[in-house]
Amino acid sequence: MVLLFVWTAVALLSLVITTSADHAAHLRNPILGQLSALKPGQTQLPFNVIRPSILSGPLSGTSKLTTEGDPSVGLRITYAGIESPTSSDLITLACDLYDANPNDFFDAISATGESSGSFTLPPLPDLRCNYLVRYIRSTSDAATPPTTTTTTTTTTTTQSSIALLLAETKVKHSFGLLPTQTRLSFTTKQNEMMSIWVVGFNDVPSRVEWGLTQNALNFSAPSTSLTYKASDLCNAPANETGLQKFISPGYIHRAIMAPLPFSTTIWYRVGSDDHGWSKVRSFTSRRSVAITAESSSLKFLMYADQALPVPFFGPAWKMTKQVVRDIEAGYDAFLLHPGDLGYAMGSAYIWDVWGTLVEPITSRVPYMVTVGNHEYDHVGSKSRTQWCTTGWMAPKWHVTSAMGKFRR
Amino acid sequence: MPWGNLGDDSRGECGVPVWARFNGTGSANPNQEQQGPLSATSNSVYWYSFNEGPVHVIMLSSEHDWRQTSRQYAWLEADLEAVNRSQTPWVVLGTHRMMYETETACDSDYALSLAFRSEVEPLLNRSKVNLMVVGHQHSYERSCPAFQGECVEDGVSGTVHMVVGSAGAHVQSGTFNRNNTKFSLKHANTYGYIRLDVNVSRMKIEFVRTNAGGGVKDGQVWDSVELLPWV
Repeated sequence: MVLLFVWTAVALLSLVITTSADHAAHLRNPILGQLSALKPGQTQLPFNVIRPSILSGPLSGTSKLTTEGDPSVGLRITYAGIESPTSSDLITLACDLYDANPNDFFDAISATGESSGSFTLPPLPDLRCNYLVRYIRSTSDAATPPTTTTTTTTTTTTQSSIALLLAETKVKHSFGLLPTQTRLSFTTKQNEMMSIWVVGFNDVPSRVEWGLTQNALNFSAPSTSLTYKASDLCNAPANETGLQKFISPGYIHRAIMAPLPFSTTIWYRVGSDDHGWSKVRSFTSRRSVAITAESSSLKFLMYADQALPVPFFGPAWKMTKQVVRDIEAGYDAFLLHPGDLGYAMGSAYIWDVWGTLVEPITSRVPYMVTVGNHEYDHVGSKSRTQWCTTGWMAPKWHVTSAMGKFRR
Repeated sequence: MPWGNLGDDSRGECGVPVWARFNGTGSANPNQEQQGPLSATSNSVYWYSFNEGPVHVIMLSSEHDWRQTSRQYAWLEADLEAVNRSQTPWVVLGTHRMMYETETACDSDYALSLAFRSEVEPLLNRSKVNLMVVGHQHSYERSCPAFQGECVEDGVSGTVHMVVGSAGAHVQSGTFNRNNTKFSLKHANTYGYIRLDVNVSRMKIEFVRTNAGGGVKDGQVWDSVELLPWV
């Protein structure tokens, strides 16, 4: 089903902001503040942050931004010395992958209207680039309706006001080195298991290591890797560059553990000596083809349409924890996800957000997918608002034949 | 003829990222048929099958051509023919779009479900596919063992259809009252997933709600059913 597209920024916002308890009362957070107002079945977040057209610099005045902590755990952002702060100021999250255009960012939150403060982000995915945090001063009231015209070049939206970059800081962390988004997958062979993971650099040999106990990973197999480019994708926005469009997926590694004993707990890790290793995790190997007591029963899980937009606070995140609970209770043969995975829909970083979100599942059971409309469907350009009207979704390969007779 | 022309819901991704991030092998061109690692005749992440324990699992792409004239259909037919039911007494099919649904959310989805049923259901019934699980509709729905839109009389010789598009995308708000709704035994606009516990003599399916409601807390079973072998 179609997730009505609001801003690409919606998904990001949801991932960016949480607050410490003491700060929560002050932070005007559009996602957190409105989640409670979200009704079951509501398909569109009431998300209304105005995205200004940001003038780049010069960085001026006394405004300062600093960060501390491990972004994969919880980055703490502190701002101070903000002159004449207003609650229509924005704090944006970007990275240094492309030119440092302040109009290109993953997401933004509204500031508090106070001259100093701090908050902690939930775990951020490794996007293989250095995060940039910026404090943006909106020069018009962001709460007013969007202006229809502006003399400023805008790269994001027609809903523009004009803003200034007051402060920015780059998050210092070794992005791109450690394996991320670890996944398991079946192969054609009953005594194998494929491991899949993503890294940012491909300059060293990587491998999977496994064994029968957590402390004795005595076997290993080298990985092969692939990547893809914007030009491999079919059309816009997926094949255009931009932080909310195409970013490099890094290198997707695959290595096969084999031969494995049947129906056995296998411990494994992926990575490299030079850049580091994943956690050591376990899975249950496949059943023997021969019919035995062990091979004649099976517990597995299934769901579809997982989606953002609210991964860290919404249903998908809660589901991850409950699915892990069931995996640990024995529903560990595999998980089937027939389509509509993370709803990246051309925003490549969402693949990383989602892949990180579900890693506690995908690294523990073979995660077997097929495509949904949000991974695969591609033809021309259509209005987002007409997703359900007659004929829109009708497959062209079918519309000329018998489709008509099925209409009520 | 290029496949995948039901719309532009991938916003230009056209399957390449999912292909690369899961079982990608061979060409990155999503319009070229590829040999995946799962079987010599499958098509990458799009359609494939495997056996595990007592279950033969088939994953289809509802986004590719599945008409009886299609390559995917030919593959499905051959795959089902090769199933050894004494080895795997159960056949479970997963794909994205619905073949049975009663929610009024989207008329074109409903029309497509009827077309899907017309083209593919006879093969599923002939091959005694026990269970077909789909998403697309952001809700939960379970049918009786059904064929041609009706519950089968003996309660066994039909495919049970489940919609479990409830894993986190915002649930829908339609009502479950299409013309023929008798086959829809249980349905709700809710979040959740299914867990399946299978042995040779029965398949137990439980729908776990991940938001409280319908008389259960989150994390609790809201619907369950036991299927018997279709022999």
